[in-house]
Amino acid sequence: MRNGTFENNKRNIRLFFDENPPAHFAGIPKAQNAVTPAKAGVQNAADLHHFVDSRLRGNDVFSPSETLSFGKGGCCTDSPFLKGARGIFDMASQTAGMAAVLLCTLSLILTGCFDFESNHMVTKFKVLAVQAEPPEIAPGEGFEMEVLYADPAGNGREVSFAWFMCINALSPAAPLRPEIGLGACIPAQSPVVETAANDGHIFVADETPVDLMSLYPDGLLNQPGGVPVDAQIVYVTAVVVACAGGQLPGPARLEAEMAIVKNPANWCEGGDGFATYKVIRVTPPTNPRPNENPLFEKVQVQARTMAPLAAVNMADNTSGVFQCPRTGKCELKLSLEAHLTPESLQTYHTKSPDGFALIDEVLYVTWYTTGGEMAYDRSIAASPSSPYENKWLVKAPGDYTLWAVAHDVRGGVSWESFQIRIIEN
Amino acid sequence: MKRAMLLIGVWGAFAVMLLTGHAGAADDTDGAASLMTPPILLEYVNAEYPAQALEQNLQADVLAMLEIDAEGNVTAVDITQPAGHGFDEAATMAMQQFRFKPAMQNGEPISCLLEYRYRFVLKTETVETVTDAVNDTDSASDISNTAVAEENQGTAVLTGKVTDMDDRAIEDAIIYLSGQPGGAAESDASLELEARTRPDGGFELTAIPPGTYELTIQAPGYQIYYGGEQLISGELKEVSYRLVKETDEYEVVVRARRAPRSVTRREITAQEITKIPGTDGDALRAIQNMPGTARSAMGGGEIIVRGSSHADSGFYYDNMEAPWLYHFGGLTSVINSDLLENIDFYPGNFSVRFGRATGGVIDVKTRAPKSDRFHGYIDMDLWDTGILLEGPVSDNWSIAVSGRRSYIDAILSNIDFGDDFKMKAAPRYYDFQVIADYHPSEKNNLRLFFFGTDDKLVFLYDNTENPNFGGGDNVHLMAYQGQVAWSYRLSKKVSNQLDAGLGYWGGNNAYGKYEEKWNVMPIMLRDELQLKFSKTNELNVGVDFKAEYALIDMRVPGDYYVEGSPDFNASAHDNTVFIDGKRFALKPGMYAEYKNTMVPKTTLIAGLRTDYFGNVDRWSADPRFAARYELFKNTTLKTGVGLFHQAPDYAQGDEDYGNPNLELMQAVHTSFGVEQKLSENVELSVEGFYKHLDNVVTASDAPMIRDGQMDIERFDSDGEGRVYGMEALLKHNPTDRFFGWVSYTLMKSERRDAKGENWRVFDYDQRHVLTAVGTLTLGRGYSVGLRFRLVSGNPYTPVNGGIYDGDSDNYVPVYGQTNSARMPMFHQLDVRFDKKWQWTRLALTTYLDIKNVYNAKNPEFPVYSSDFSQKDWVTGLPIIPSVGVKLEY
Repeated sequence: MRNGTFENNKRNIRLFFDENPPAHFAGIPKAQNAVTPAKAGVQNAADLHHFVDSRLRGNDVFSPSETLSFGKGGCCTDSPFLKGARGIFDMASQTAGMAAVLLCTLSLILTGCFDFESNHMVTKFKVLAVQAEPPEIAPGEGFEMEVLYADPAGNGREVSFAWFMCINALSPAAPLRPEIGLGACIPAQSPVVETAANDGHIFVADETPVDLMSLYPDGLLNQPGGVPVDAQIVYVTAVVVACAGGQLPGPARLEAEMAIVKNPANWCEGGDGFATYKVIRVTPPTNPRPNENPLFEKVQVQARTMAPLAAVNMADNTSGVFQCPRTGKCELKLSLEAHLTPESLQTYHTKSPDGFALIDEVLYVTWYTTGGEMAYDRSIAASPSSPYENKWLVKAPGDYTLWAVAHDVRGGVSWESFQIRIIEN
Repeated sequence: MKRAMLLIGVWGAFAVMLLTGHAGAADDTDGAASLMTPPILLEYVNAEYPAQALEQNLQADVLAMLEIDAEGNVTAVDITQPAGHGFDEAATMAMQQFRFKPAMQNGEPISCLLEYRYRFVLKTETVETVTDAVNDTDSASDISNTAVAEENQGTAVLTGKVTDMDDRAIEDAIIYLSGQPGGAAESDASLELEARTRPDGGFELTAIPPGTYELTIQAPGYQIYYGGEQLISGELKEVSYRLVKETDEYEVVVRARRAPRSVTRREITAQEITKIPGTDGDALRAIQNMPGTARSAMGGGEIIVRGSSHADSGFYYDNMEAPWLYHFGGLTSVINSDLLENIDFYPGNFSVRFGRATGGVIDVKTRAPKSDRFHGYIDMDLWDTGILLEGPVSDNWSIAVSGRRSYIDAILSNIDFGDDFKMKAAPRYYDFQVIADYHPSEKNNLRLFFFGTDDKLVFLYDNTENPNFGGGDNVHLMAYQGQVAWSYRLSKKVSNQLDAGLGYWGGNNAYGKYEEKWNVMPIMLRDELQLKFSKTNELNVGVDFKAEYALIDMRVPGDYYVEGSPDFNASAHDNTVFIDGKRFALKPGMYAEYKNTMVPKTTLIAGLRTDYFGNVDRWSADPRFAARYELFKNTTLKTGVGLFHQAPDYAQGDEDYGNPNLELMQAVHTSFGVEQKLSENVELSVEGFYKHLDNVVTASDAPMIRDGQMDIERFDSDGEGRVYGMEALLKHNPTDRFFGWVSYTLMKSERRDAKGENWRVFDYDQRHVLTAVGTLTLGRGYSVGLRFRLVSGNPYTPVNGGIYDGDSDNYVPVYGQTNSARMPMFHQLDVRFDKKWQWTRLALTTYLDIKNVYNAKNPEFPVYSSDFSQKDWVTGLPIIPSVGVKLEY
C-alpha cells in the first residue's frame, strides 16, 4: 500500500498512579546493576529505564554526533574511538580518537556512504510519535497519552497495545541511578493490553500516590524558574508496545518477562512489534513554567496551507492536489513549511557553570512521508519567527501521506497529518 | 697460467657490537640496541698468502670478530669462520695490525666488536687496480698494462669494473674524471669526462689526454669514492674499484653484548623503519608490525600490546615520558623519524627502570646530529612537508633543527562532504625538534632536546539551507617539551646517566555542548647510576621522579567511556558535570637492578621498583626477575616474571569527577621463550606469555558522597583481566639486499567487570595476527617492499534492533552480550617502491607507497540505520597510493 493514503492512527491512554510507592525504591543492591551507564543501550528491558533517565536529563537532541547520525559521517563520530576521545584529560584516548574520526571520514569520502532507508520514510509499521498531555504534571494530576503510528502495508490489520509505567526519582532520599527493570518499577498494576477496538478508553489519575516532592533534593524546588530541566528530577516513564497483526501476551506474562526480554518489540508474536517510551516530568504545582506541548499554526506545501487529514476527505482536498509539469517525467519538488504558534516557544531553566540559567526552548519538526525523498528528516527554525522548512521530492504520481511532528526538548509533542495527491498533467 | 695474489679485506655483515663498560645512551637502555658511527679502517695490512694455499690454488674467506678499543686498536681477533690451510693465521696476523678510527656514539669514542671478512683471492692475469673500500688508496696496488691500442695513440684509455665488496657488480655508478691534461698548455681548460657502469659493472673512458686526474665514483647506496689516476700516452689502463656500502648510522646495527635487562626487546632499525610498506616511512607506525601488537582500527595510532589497553603502555622519548606519539593519534609521528636513532619495544616483562605501566613500553631514542659537515633535506609527501638541517657548530657542538607542517587541511577543506557536514580549517598539524649535542670529552656527553607539536581539527556541521544542522566538534592539542640528558663516565666501572624534562601539554576541545580545557605541566627527573663491580656483577640504581601540575576547566558528560562499552551510547549522556581548578600530583619512583653472569652462559637479573602515585595516594612495590640461558651456541632460552602497577587515569581518580578511592591497577607478567639464530642473518624467536590483570577500572553506579552531595562514584576497581598466548618472529636482519620478517601472534585477552562474572573478550581481542614484511634492494637505487597482514576481526557488541524514544524523537539500541560478535577477518597488502639518485653531495629519493593494493573492503566497525533495523560496515581505507620526494644534501 505504498503511496497510499490511510487514516491517521493514534491511541489514547490515560495513566494513573498507585497509592503506594514501589518497594523497589527502598534500595537496589549494586549486584543488580547489570548495566553500567557507560554500557548505555538496551541489553534487556531493564535497561530501558536507564535510557529514559539519560535521555531526559541529557537533553542532547542536537548534539553533533546525533545530528550527524542522520547524515554522512555519523558512523565516524559515533565510533567507539570518539567515545574514548570524550574522556576528560585522557590524552592518549583523545589523540587516538581524532585519528579514527579523521580516517573514518576519509574512508567515507572515498568509499561512499550507506544505503539505509531515511528516517522520514514510512514503509512499514512504525510509531512516529508519542504525546503526553500535559507533558509535565504536578503530583495528583493525570495525563493522557496518545500514540501516532502508521502501518502503510498493513491493509488495515488490527493493532494492539501493551502499556505500563514507572516512577523514577533521583534524590538523596531515593537510590541514585536505580538500574531497575521495568518490572521493578511498575507502580500499581499489571500491564494493560488494548486493541484498536478499545479506542477512546481513558485512564485517569485522580490522586498522587506518593509525596513525590519529597524526592527532590533540598533547595531544588526553590529555583525561581522552576525545577531545572537537567537537574535531578522526578518523572514518570510510560512504555508502550505496539503490535500490528500479531498477538501480545497477557498482562501476567508480560510482567514476568519485563526484566528478561531484550526488546519489548519482540513481545508481538506473529506480527510487527514496535516498542517506545515516553517521559513525563513531575514538578511542583507552583512551577511557573510547566512545559506545554507545542502547537501547529499551519503547515504549507508550496505555500498552500494544508487542511489536516482528519478534517477533509480526499475528494474535497483540492489544496492537497499538485500537478506534475506538462513535459518530462512526473516529478515535483515541493517546499514544506511548518508554522508553530508563538506560545509554543517557552523558556526553562538549565544548568550552567554559574548555577542555573533561563534559556529559550528549542523546537523542531520531524517529517514523515509514505513516498518521495525529504531533504531533511528534521527542521528547526532559523529564528523564533521563522517557519520550519524542508524540501520534498516526489517522483511519481499517486497519493501520499505527510506527517509533521513538532517537538520541544522537554518532551512536548504534537503533530498534523495530511493527504497529498500528485497527478499527471 | 700466471697468477698473482690478491688480498682483500672485506667488511663483513657490518654488525658492530658494543663492548661492556662504556658509558652512553645506548648502554643505559639496558643494553638496548642503538645506532652509531661505525669504526673506520685507517690502516690496512696485507696478509701473506699462505704458501700451502697458493700451491693448491686455494681461495678463502676468513670471518673474524675484531675487538676494537676506544683508541681504534685491535685488541683481540676471534676467528668465527675458519678456513684452514694457513688462512686463519695469516688473516689474524694482518688484522691484529689494523688501525681504526674508533666507533662513536654521541660523539664519544667507544669500544666495539666488528665482524670482519678477510678474503683471500688469487689474482687472474687481468691487470687491475684494487682500491680499498675505505678510501685507503695508499694501500691499493696499481699495476698498469702498457698495451696501447693504435686508435688511441697519444691518449689513454681507462677501463674497468665497479663492484661492491662482495664482488657484486654495481650498475649505473657514475665515474667522473677531472683534471688538467699533463701535456696541455696551462691555459687549456680542464678536462672532465664521465661514464656510467653497465649492468656488469664495466665502464670505459677513452681518448683521455695523458695526465694526473681526480677520480670520483658515485653509486646510490655506496660511499662516494675519491681517488686519482695517472695516465700516460697510449696506455690502456684496466682497473677495478670496490665500493663500500654507505655506512651511515642508519645502516649499522649496534647490538649490546650484554644480555638485555628485559626478557624480550623488539628492535626496529631506521633502515627498516623508512622502508616498511604502508607506513610512509614513519618510525613509530612500524611498531604496529611487531608481534604482540594488535592491529589498530582504521589505521589509527593505538598501540595495543599483548591485550592491554593503549593507555596501559608507557611511551618515552629519550627516557622522558612522551605526551603522545602521533599527530591526530595515528597519522604520523610527532617526532621526525630521521632524527631517531632507534626504537625499542618491550611487549612485557620489562626492566624496573620503566614503571607506571602494566602493558608494554616503547622507548624512542633520538640520535646525535651529524658532525662531519652540514647536511639537510626537504621532504614532501601527500600529507606534509618537512625540513631538516644539521651539522657541527664548533668542535664540540653539533645541532639539528627539523620542522614539518601539514597541508591536508587545504585539501580537505575544499572537499564537498554533502549538505550536512563541513570540515573547517582542519585538520592541520605541525611539529618541530631541536637537538644540540655537546661532547667535550670521551667521558662526557650532553644533549639538549626541545620539541613541540600542535594538532587542530574542526568539524563543522553547517547547512546554509537548513539550520537544523549546526554546531561542531573541535580538538586542539599542543605539547612543548624540553629535555636535558647528561651521560658521564667516571671510570670503566662507574657511569651515570641524568635526564630531566619540563613540558607543557595542553588541550582545548569542544564536542557539541561539552568543552574541556586542560593544561598539564610535567616535571620529570631521572638519574641512573651504573656500577660494574666485576665482569659478572653489575648494579643499576636509579630514581624516576615525575610531578604534574594541571589546570582544568571542563563541561563534560557525566558518563564516561570505559573498555567494553558498546559503540552506540551517544544518546546516553548523563548529567553534565562541571569541573575546574588545579591539580597536583607527585609520582616519585626508585629502582635497583642487579645483574649476575657468574654462571656460565647464564644471565640473571633481579630488580625492585617502588612508586608513589599522588593522584590516588597509593604506593606500589614491584619485584621483577628475568633470566637468559645460552642453551647452545645459537640458542638462548629466556624467562621472566614480574609485578607491574599503574594509576588509574586522572579522570577516573579525580575527586570531583571520578573515584579517588580507586586501587592501583596491577599486572603480573610471566613469559618463557627461546631465541634461535638460524643463520648469519636469520633469527627465530618464539615466546609464550600469561598476564593477569587486577583492579581494572570499570564503570560503577554505586552511590558516594561528593562535596556533601549524593552522587555516583562512576568508577570502581572491581575489574579483572587475563591475557595468554604466544608470539613468533622469524626475522631476516637488514643486509645489502634484503630485510624482512614474519610475525605471528596467537592470543586471547579477556575481561570481566567483577569477580564472579563471566569472562568476556577484550575490545581488541585479536586472536590471530599475522604480519609479513619484506624489502628487496634491486640495484641502481631501486628497492621494492611488501607488507601483508591477516588479522582476526575485532569483537563488537551486536545491536538487536532499536526502541523509539518518544521523548527525544530518537531510537536507542538494544544491545546483545558485550563483545559477543566479531567482525570479519582483516587482510591487506601494501607495496612500496623506492628509487634513489645520488650525485656528489646531493641525493634525491622518491617513493610510491600503495596501501591496500587489492582494495580489500575490511569492516572496521558496524553502523546502523537511525532506527537500528539495518546494519552495514564502515570499511577501512580503500587503495591509496602515496608518493613522496626527498632531496638531501
